[in-house]
Amino acid sequence: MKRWLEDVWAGFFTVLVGMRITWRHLFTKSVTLQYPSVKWPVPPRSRMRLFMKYEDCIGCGQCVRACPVACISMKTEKRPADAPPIWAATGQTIKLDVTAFDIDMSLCCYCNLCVYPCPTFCIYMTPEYEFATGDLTEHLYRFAKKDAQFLTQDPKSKAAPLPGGSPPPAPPAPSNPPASPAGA
Amino acid sequence: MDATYAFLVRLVPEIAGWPTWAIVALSAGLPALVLFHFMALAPLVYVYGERKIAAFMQDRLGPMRVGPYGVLQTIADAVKLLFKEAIFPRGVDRRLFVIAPLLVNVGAFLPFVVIPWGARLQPADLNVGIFYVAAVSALSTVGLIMAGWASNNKYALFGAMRSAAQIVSYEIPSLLIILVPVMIVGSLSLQDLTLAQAGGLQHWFLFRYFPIMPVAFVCFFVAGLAETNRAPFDIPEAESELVAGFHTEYSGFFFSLFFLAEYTEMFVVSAVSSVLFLGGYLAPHPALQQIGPLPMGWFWLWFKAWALVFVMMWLRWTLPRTRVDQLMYVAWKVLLPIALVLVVLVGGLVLLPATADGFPWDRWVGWPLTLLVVGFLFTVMIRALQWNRRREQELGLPAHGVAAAGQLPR
Amino acid sequence: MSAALPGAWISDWDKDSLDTDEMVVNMGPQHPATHGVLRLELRTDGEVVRAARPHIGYLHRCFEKHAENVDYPGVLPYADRMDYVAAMGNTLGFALTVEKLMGIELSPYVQTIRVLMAELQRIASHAVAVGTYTMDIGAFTPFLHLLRDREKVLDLFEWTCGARLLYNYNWVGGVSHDLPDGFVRATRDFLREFDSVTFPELLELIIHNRIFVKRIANVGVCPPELAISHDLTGPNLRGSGLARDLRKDFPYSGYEAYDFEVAVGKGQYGPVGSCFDRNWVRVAEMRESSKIVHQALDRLEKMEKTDVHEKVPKRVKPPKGEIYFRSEAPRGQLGFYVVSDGGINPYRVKVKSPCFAAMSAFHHLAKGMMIADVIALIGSLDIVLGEIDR
Repeated sequence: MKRWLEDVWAGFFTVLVGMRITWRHLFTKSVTLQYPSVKWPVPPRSRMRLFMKYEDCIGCGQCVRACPVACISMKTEKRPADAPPIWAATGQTIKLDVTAFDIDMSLCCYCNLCVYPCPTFCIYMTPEYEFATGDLTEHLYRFAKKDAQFLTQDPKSKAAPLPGGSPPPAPPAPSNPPASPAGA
Repeated sequence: MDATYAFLVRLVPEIAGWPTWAIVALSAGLPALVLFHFMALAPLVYVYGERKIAAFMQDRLGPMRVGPYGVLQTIADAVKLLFKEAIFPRGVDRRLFVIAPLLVNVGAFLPFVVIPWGARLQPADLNVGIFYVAAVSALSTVGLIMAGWASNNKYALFGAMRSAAQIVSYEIPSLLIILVPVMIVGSLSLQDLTLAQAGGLQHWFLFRYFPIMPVAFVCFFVAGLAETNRAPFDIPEAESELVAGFHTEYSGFFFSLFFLAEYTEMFVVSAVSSVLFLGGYLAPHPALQQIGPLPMGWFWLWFKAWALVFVMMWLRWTLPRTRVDQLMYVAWKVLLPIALVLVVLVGGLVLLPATADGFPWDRWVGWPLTLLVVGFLFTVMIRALQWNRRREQELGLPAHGVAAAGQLPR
Repeated sequence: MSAALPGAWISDWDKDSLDTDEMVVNMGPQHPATHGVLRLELRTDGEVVRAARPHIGYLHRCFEKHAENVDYPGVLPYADRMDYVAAMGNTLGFALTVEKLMGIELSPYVQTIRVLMAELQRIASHAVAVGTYTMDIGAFTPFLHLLRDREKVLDLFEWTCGARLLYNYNWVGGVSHDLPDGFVRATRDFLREFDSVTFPELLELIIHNRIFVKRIANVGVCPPELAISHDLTGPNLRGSGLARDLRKDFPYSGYEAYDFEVAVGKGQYGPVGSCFDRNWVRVAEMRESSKIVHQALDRLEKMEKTDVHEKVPKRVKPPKGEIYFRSEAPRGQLGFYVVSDGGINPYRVKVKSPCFAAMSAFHHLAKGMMIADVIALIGSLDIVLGEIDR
């Protein structure tokens, strides 16, 4: 009998205690973010969309080897001997022509492993996350450009200023779309 | 009905010459129609209220997109349900399948006939008022079983049976507790029950025979919760339980009918509770009963019923579900003994001339208690509002501190 | 315990042998309460379960096969995706295993960061476990409150390493990113609110709620012998009263320096080893993890920073050999058995998943309970199908 009374009282009382908490929360400020009218600033280290600066790629293939899901594919050719020497912004000479550099973002697992081995820091993950498309093939990013402006002066030498070429590798520009989708 | 007739005759004097059946049809049918429309459209508001209350209790926003602050959400949902295909699985008994939700709704709407919204604002003042309510709300049980049977689905049948067992089990303590105010007043009519509580807050049945009546009120409310299949007794509608509810096979319009019935029943239970214990359409103070020429009775009943509906929603979002056997345990081993004891006690007390209307000390208990309750509720609400501010000060953080909407330091 | 379950499973169902009173109920792969794609075949006699057989494999993604085809750092993203609710624990386990094989010793700074991240992840993982469990039992609100706090932990992780769920944070030889400036302060802010508001509210709102207690306190009792014989580890084992915690018994990554208690099921509301006890262990562990995080933050402030990539080898090429190393993941003992043949890809990686063992005990725990309690049982075992199926 005593246990019955205890049970009933405990049932009643714990219910009231719980109700007090939900009542308090009725007046608590909500944590919902009304996306897309309100957007949360994403931290700078965010690993969202991959970007690769074609002008700095030396064609070493380290990123291709590092990727665990094989989403990066690259084709290189040796530059002809008579071609003018070109450099990456970090000072390495570019000895290979990267004729194709494709990243399939639908395969990418956002692990960031391709970023670290790159000797010229040309591939990195940007904080841009709103790149959903209606067509899956649009997720195949082709970064190889035909009209790339390579550095034709060794950036390490203090001889002459950079001839109106590309600026040094800057922090990620989030709104920078990649090279045009399949077909370029 | 008489009031409507008087009103109509004043408006259109020719009505007095119409045949009797026409007069009766008009003066009875018109208020019924008006009331029915109000009550049928009311779930739109309840559903919105429930979603918003649930959201705020869970620190989120709820519907916000459809209409300003999401007010049109329920309408959008209703329209969607109307357009959805009403699937009839193979093997269902078509007639029963269609009639079942209608029957449940009938059981939900019929009690409105006797609910008094004012001294003369009542569709029909039956002298078996409360008995009629209890009888008629049991009709929905038949509809439930019909729904489970017609679905041709053994799990739906399971769910329907369980649900029927639940409702029937909780009818018994509910009816016994109904007897308590009835014994005090000596009449089954809801109008008489309300008028017996006239005179102000301290005369409400809730504050008589303290502490017996508050216990009765709580028990009646719990029994009512269980009858409407609301949490914590919502096994039949539980999504995460294995055996699905009786309305599994319903989609589209028929599903919305079940929803309609549920919310209407919630309102009925709340309205009946407030008539029985909280003074029905009576204001807390007689001065507030009439504001100028406008009688406020309907507002008070509406306010009390809504307060109880809010408490039902509050409970739903606070409590977990009981298991079926625990549900039965509460009905038969907790509520029923308490109800029996209450009936015996109050019955005995009513017989004695000294305590016929309440304990003699009720007069001194009544007022202080009401003030205490009102004061307590007031402070609780104010404290809740201040809780956030206090929390912010104590923690030194804005509410929900770190990273609320991008506040992480960069 | 019978090793071979009696006939009359749906797979070897013979019309004559199926008892007419018994029914086979399928809690299919798609079910709101099975925490993933798990198919439970229950043979019931009315409401009472006579036998239960879980069917797994719906989420098998060939982790161990993939591990043979990528190099060691490449295994880590795959490892993350096993127990996706508590990803830090997976990579920690694998990284520690390979480091042991290669003989790499880490600086105290990196070890403290690892402990910090692992314990924050434990809080987040238990928040999901307890939250979804209460939701299965029917209370919807604590789930959202706990998830709100989990979001804050995820924000801290995103700030540090850029990802919210699958971090690839613990590397062989270090961690991927150093802590950003202000991290210590932000974590302390989070813990201040968690310790003083969220945790007491959780206890008041649901854990001590009589309806919740009555629902789960006498259900799914797992006696210690059964727990040991089925190799239950982690909160499932501690719920049965045994104080076994790898962080105390075989400490790794500097855990021996932290002062915390091992939460054990005490049978407050029913027999020891009930669903309530397992759930209680998780709730109490959230508090202990918070203590550890406080201590880790204190140590971080006083410690000198070292480069987190200092010991990361340029090429991870462990010497030929094999090793089995286990760590205390939020769900139990997560073990990695790595066989290396000296190359850059592992020869074999085998994972001992704690939830897999929990599923093996399921039949014995479910026998004799009602169908509604099966839901309570699954939730209390806290399974994540990604880990069971790998």
